[in-house]
Amino acid sequence: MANILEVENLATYFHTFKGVVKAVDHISFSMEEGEVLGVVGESGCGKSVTGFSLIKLIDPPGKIQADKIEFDGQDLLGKSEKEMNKIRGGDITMIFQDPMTSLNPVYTIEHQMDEMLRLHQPQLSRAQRHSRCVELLREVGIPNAEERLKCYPHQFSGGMRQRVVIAIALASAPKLIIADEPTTALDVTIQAQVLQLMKRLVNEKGCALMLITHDLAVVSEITDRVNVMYCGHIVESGPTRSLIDRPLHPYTQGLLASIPGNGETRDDERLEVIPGMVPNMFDLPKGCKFAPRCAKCMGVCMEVEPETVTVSEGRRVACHLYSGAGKEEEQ
Amino acid sequence: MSEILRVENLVQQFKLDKGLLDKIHMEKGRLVVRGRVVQAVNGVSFSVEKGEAFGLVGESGCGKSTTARTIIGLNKPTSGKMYFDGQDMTAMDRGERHALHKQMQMIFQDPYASLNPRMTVLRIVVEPILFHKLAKDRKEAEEKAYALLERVGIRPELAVRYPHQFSGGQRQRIGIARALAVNPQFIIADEPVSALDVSIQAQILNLMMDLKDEFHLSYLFIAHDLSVVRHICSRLAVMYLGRIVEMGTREQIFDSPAHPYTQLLLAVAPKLTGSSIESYEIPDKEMPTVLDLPKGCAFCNRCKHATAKCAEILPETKDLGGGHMVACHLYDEKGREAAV
Repeated sequence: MANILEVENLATYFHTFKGVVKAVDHISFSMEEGEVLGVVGESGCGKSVTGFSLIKLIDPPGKIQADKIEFDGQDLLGKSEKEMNKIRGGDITMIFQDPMTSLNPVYTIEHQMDEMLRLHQPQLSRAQRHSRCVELLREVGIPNAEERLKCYPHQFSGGMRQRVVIAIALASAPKLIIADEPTTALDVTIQAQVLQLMKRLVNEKGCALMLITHDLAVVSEITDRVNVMYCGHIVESGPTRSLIDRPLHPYTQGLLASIPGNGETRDDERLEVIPGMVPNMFDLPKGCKFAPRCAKCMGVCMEVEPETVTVSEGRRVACHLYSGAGKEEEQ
Repeated sequence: MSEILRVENLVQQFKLDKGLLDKIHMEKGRLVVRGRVVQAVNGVSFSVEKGEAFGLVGESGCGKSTTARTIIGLNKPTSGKMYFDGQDMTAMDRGERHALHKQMQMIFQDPYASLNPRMTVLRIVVEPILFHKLAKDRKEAEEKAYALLERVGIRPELAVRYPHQFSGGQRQRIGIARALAVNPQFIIADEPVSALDVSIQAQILNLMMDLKDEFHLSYLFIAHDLSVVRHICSRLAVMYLGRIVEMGTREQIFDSPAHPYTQLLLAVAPKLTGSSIESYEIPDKEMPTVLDLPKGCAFCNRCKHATAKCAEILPETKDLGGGHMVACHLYDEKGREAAV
C-alpha cells in the first residue's frame, strides 16, 4: 500500500529564554493508507508535539524543521497558512483528549458540525448539511440524532461528547485522523466503546489513524504499528504485536515490565521499575537520552547518540545494543 | 486478625437545591416542593482488617471517593455507622475526631493540588507533627521530617524547596511522607497513582507496599485501574452508583467474577495481549444519573441478563461462600445461580 504520510527528520524546538527545548528531535516515520499507528510515551516525551507539528499547529517560540513532511503526495512544509487551513479539518482532522474543551460550550452540536461542513464541503446545501449531520451522529452511535443536534455540549456525558468530537472529525471524510489521548478522560467501559467505534470507523472509511497515548494496553488493543518515544526521539518502532511481545529497547522493556500484572511480577510482589526519572528537557544527557536510567548502559551510550537501525522486518530501534559500536563493546 | 475499620450502611446524600425557589416544581398542574438530591453513596458496608490493603474500585461517579471523604470526616454522613478500631466515629465530638487523625491519614489523587504551594516541603511534613504534638520542639519535628522524606526518596537538601519545584511522582512521595508524619495505622489512598506516568506509578506502588510492611499500615486503596488494585490489594469491593455490587478476595473477584458489572469491567479493560475489546459486545447504554436512580438494580439497563425483576426489586447482597458477596438477582439466597 502507498504511504499516506512520510516524515523525515522532523525537529520541533522551542526557543525559550531558559534555553532550547528539543521537544521533537529529528524523528522519521511513515504511515500507510488506512493504517492505525500508535505513538506512545510518557508525559513530556514529545508525542503530542509530533501530532501538532504535522499540521503545523506550533506557536512561537516553537519552530518546526524537517527534511520532508509529505501528506498524500503534497509537501506540507511549503504550504502557506491559508492552504494549511484547508487541510486542517479537511484531509487531516484531530481528536483531542478533553471533549469539554474541544467543543464550544455556547453553540449547539449542530452549529459546530455544520461549521465543519460549510468550510470543507461548500457545495452542500443547508438541507443536505443537516441530513449529513444526522447521518454522522447516527454513525457514531448517538440515539435520537435529530433531537440531540439541538443540544449543547454540557447536555452530553463525557463519552457522548467524545462521540460528537469523533463525528466532527469524520465530517469532512479525512484521510488521516490524529487522535491525541482520545480516551484518557473516559471511564473503562466508555473507553472501550469509543475505541471500538474508532477502530470500526477507520476500517470502514479506510482513513489512517494516528493514536497518541500513554497507555500501552490501549495501543496493543487497536493499533497496527507503534512508535515508542522518549525525550523527543523515537526509540523503537515496529508492528504492535511483535513489539509488545518482544520489546528490544531497554526503555520499552522497562515500561512493559512496570505495568502491574504484566511481566514476571506476581501480585503483592514489588514491581520492576525503571529507576530515576525523565531528564530535564533543558539539560538532556549527551549520548543516549535513556542512558542514565538504563540497566544495560555501556560507555558508548554516555557519549554517542545511537543511530536507528533496522533489526528485522519493520522493527527499528535506536540503541547501541543493536548497532555496530555497541556490539563491539559488548564483545 | 481484627478489624481496623468497619463501615455499616453508609449513606451520603447531597442536597442540590438549597433555596425554596429551587425546590418548587410544577407537577400535574400542582406546585410541589421537592429538592433534587444527589445520592452519592447508598448503603455501603465493608470492613478493613488490620494490616490489610482493601481496594475500592469503580468508574467515576460510583461514590468511591465520596465514601473515602466521609470516612476521613470531610463530609458528614447522612446516615450509617463507621467504627475505627471499635470506636464509633459518628458519635465522636470534634476533639475526639482530631485525635483520631493521628491514626488515620489520607493520600490524595492530585499531587499538584494537595500540597500547599506556599509552604516548603519541610514545613508541609513538619506541620502535622507539631499540630498533634508528636515532637517536643520544632527541632525534633524537623529531624523526624527529614528522616521521613529520606525514607520516601526525597533527598534532605531538597526539603527547603517548594512543591512546584518537584515532579508529579516526587510530589506524591511528599504527600506520602506527610501522611506518615503522625505515625498512623490506617491510610486512605484516593487514586494515588492515577495522575502519574507508568514508570513512576510502579515506583510509588512499590514504595507504598514497602511502607505497609515497615510501618504496619492498613490501606483503603481507591482506584479505577483494576490492574493496580489487583497488584496491591488482597481484598476489594466493586462499586456501581453508590452501592457495592461485589466484594471478595482478589482471587474471587479476578478469577471468578460473579456480578455482570464486574465481568464487564474486567472484559473491557484494555490488555497488552490486545484485540480483546474489539470483538466484545459492550452495552451502549450509559450509567443512570445519581439524581434519578432506578428503583431496582442500578445496572439493569446495561446488563445482558436483566429481567423484569431486576428493574423492580433491588437485589440483596448474597454470600457465595468464603466472603465472596454479590448483589445480583442471578444468585439465590444460598448463593447458587438462580433460575431467573
